Amino acid sequence: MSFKSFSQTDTPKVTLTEQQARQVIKDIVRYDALKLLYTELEERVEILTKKNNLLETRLLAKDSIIKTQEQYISVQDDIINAKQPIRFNGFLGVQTFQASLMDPLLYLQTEVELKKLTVGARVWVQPNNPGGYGFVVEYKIF
Amino acid sequence: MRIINFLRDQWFAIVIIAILVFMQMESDQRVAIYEEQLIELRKEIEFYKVKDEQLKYKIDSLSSLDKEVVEKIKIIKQKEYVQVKMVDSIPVSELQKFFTDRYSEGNSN
Repeated sequence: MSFKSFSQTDTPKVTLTEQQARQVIKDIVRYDALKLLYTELEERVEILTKKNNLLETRLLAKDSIIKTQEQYISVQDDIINAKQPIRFNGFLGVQTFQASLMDPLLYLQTEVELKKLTVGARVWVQPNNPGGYGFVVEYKIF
Repeated sequence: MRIINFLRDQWFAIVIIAILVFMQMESDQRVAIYEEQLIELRKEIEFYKVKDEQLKYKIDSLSSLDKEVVEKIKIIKQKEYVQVKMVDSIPVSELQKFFTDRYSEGNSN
C-alpha cells in the first residue's frame, strides 16, 4: 500500500475576476491604512491621556496658587489691622443742661481709640463760668 | 524733686503714653510674625508658579506631538485615497504582481 504524495499542482486554486481582484486589492489597501491608523490613534490616545493628566495636575497647581494668594491677602489685611491699632478723633461740640439753651457748654475734644477703649482730653468754655479741661476715658459697650 | 512732682502731676499722661508704647511694641511684634508668614507664602507661590510653568511646557510639548500625529493620520488617509483610486487604473499584470508580491511563499501578511 502506498500513499499518493501531494504536489504543488494539487493545491486548490481560487480564481477571481478582474473586478473582484481590484475590489480585493482596494480592501487590502484600506486594511493596511487602517493598521497604520490604529497605531497612530493608539499613540494619540496615549498622548491625550498624558495631556489630560497634566492638565488636571496644572489645575491643582493653579488652585494652590489661588489659595496661597488668598492666604497672602489675608495676612496683608492682618498687617494693615495690626499697624492701625490707634485711631485719633477730634470733636467740637455743644452740651446743654437739661432742655435749655441757657449757659451751654462749648467743648473741644480730642481722643485716641485703642480698640474698645477711648482715651482723650476735653477743653471747655461756658458763658458766665470759667473754662477748664479734663481727661475722658470711655469703654465701648456697643 | 521737680521730676517727682512732674510725675505726680502728670501720672495720667504717663500711663497713657506707656499704654501707647506697649501697644505699638505689641503691634510691631505681630507685624514681624506676619511678615515672616508673607515670606513663606511668597516662597510657596513661587514654588507653585515654577511647577505650573513646567507643566505648561510639558503640555505644550504633548500638544506639538499630537499635532504631528494628526498630520501623520491625514497623510495616511490621503495615501489610502490615492492608492484606492489607483487600483482602478492599474493593468491586470500589476494586479497579479500585487498578489504575488504580497502573498509570496513564506509571506503570510
